Amino acid sequence: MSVYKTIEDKVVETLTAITVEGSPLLATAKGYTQRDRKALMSAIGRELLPAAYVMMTGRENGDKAVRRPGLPTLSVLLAAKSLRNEDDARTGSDDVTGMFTLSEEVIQALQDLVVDSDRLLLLIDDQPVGSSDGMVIWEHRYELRRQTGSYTPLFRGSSLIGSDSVVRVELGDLQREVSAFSFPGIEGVFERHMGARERPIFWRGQLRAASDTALNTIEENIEDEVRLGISDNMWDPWARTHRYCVLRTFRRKGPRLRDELTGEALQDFELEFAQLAF
Amino acid sequence: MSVMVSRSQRAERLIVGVETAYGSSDFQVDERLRVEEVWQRSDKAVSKATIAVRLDDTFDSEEARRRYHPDRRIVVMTEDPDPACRAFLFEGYSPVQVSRWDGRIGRDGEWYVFEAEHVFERLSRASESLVYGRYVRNGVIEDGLQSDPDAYADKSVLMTALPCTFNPDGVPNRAQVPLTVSTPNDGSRFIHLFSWDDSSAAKWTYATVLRYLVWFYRIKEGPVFEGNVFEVTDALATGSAIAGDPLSEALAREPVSLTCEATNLVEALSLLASAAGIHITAETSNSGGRPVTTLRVWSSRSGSLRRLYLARGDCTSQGDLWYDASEHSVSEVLSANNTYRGEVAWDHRGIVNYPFVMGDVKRYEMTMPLCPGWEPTTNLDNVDEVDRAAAKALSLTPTQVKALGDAAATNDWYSKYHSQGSDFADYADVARLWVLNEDGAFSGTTYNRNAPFDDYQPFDFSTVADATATGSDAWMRRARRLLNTLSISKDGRSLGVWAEVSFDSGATWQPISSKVRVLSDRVGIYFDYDNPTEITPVDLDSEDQNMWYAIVDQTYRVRVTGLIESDERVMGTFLPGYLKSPTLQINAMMVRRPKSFRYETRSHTTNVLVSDEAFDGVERDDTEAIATLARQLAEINQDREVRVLPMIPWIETGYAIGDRIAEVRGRHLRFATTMGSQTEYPAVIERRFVLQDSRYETVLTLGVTEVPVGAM
Repeated sequence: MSVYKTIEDKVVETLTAITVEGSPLLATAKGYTQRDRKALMSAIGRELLPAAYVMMTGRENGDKAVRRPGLPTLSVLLAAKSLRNEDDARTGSDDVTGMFTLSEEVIQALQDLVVDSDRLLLLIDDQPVGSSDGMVIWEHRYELRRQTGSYTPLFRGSSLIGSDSVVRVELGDLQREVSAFSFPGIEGVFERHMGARERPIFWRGQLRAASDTALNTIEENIEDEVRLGISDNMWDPWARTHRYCVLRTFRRKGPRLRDELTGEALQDFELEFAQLAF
Repeated sequence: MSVMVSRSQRAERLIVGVETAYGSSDFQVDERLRVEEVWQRSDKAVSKATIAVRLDDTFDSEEARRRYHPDRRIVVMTEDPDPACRAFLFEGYSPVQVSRWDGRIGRDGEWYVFEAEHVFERLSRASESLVYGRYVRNGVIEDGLQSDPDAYADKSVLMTALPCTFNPDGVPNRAQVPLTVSTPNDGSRFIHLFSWDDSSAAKWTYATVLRYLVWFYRIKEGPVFEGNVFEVTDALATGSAIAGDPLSEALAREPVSLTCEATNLVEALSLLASAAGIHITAETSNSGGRPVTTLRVWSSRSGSLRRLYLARGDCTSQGDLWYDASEHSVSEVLSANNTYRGEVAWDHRGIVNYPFVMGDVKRYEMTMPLCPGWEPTTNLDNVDEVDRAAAKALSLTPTQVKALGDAAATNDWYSKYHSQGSDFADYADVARLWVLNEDGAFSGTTYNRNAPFDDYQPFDFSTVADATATGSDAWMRRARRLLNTLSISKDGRSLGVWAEVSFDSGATWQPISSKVRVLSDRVGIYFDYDNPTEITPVDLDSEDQNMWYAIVDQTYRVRVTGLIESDERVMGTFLPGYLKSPTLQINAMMVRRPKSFRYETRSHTTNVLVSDEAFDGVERDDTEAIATLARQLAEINQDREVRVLPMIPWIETGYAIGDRIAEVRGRHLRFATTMGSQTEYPAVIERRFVLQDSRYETVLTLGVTEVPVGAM
């Protein structure tokens, strides 16, 4: 099966499975071909509403220098309609699930959805794209980012940053300690090396917690680790064990924020470990 | 030591072994210790090492202080899995331990560092190594040697009354018969010991001094063993030296006043080394995987001749590389280059090509006529012949004084000229003081009298000395001291100042010694008799003839024979141009050695003692010796001083302390200098292994050992 097909099926399946108070949220959810906006609006208007079209939109621009393809993207076109008036189609009523609720529920379902085992669906933006005759149409655009590493990084047997946080692990430079010398006027150098020295390992990402209080707790735990300076094992997302690591620096990157949709407390961060030996 | 065979190679390490317990001699490598520096030195400069301790949460300064007790030995060695293949660079103790911390931002940290000193330093603190007194044979041992030689052959006792000074002022003080002592390998060896300072003793040589010091003051059980001390001096101890071997020749020389009293063995050996122009190094080596420190005696003039290497860099005028490293293997490149940093200094400031050596003032023994040192006196001087009997009658001979008894005190002559007279103080010089008048202080206006004393002039030494002594007309008119004669009696006794008097106008002379006082401020004597008529000719009574009568008769004469200092010194010079020198400039130097070089002669003067077979003379003419010293000074200092500080970018033990370095091959940097007819090279006198930029490098200090004067 093609990648696009796999993605489309998974998204359609997820949308179909969304329920509100025991009933399916969407009357129609299916894959559709991307085409011009007018044709799409006409087509989705003929569906049983509320409806969702899942449309693969190809890949974005990748790394031009080495000609690597970009991330796959897809659009989800949502349509809600009220026969009474357009306001009900937008905000909802007893009879109609409004576009606002529809959009939020879809985002809730699709954001961070794991597709094809290692692709993560991430919302790029959502916006209204048109309305007519009591029908409101919104478009969500998503990208699919492959996840690298399958495991939650751990230090001293603990995730350290909580279960909701997003982190990527980057191994720093590993280099030999070298003392070089040369003879004046003679080409070339000689070096004596003293073995590898410490290597930095970075955890970069975003701390996430359900509330500020929960995030406070996570941050305090991290700071305690910095103060203790205990050297221990670290496991990275690729199941590698790094021995003799010690947490050296906890950097907050920018101010603490709240997630617009979920209300989670957010803090971009960087943890710098030093791997003291190997 | 790991030899580099590729351009990138694992760094060498120096590792530290720590004794498991005091005196256990069992060393365990301690990974917490990092060698910062090992500095191998010689003579008084004892080797040392700086070692840092790695601290962490589980091992703080207090723990370091507990573990690395200063009584436990530490060794520094190269890293090799086989202990027998390690090069031991240092064995010592860590008496200075420093804990240091710093809280300044950016420099914060905590350190623990040893300043370790070599085991040789123990010989400067151990009670057995304190040098004082002399090891001698007492009467019991002397008697024992006669009755039972084997039992007493190795017996000696320490006497503290006499100082440990070898050949004081050149006087020998070594016992003729050495001790015969047993060696650890059941052999025997001779160890000389002291006697008292006497010409009948033998003279010490540096070899016998070295053996004496090492035998009596080195701690037998270690930690510093004898090394080559006895091996290189065995032949010398029996009086034979190896011709042409600079070390043997240096050790065969005799010290003069080498004073080691109230020192320790390290200081004493250093004094000996400095005086003899040799070096003594305590070196640690690998003996079956264990460190052993031994003494090594060496001469900087006989070490192996080695080279440093550094190929010529950059390009020729045609743009070709002088040394194209790409055409050579790594081993070849490293064979052609080992000195990556360095410094050579040629110092011309010490060149002396015109030395002056200043000896003592030249002195001549001569016989000089004296003249009256009193103003003409009535009834004594200028007495007409017809009045002389009356004038003599005024004086009182001792017999007459005795006869008069107390009435003598009222006699005018007695009151003036007898030492007991009431006015004697005003007339004390009359008839008694006789002077040379070498400075002209006694002018004719005041002192002229009857002949031959009718023309007082400053004494002209050319009347009693020939042109050799007075040729330069350098004798100024100044008061001089009259010193004891060089002439001695046949039985070796000093004559003092030889004074003679004549009662017959110099026809016959008789010596006079009792009650003759030699003036201290000028040439002259004073007759210190109570009565001036007491001085009489031999076999004549004062009633018949005496000094007073003879002065009245104008027939009394006085002459003295003594040593007179001239106005010249014995000097030695060596003119420039006779030796090869790197400068055309005249560089002079003055060395003052008045006690060492003297000129005292009985020649070139009128001297009544020389021809008298009853006397011998102890003369001294150091003219040749002082010229020799001047020549030696010129030879020793004829060339520039070369100081070299090469740095080798790895642990290099191939250059031993004492090796001579001829050049930096490839760069045409040659270090040879000339001393006399010999070519000299700087020797490795210090070796340092320094942790620099996380890599050990070897720093050699090359220098030329100062050659003691007289060692050539």
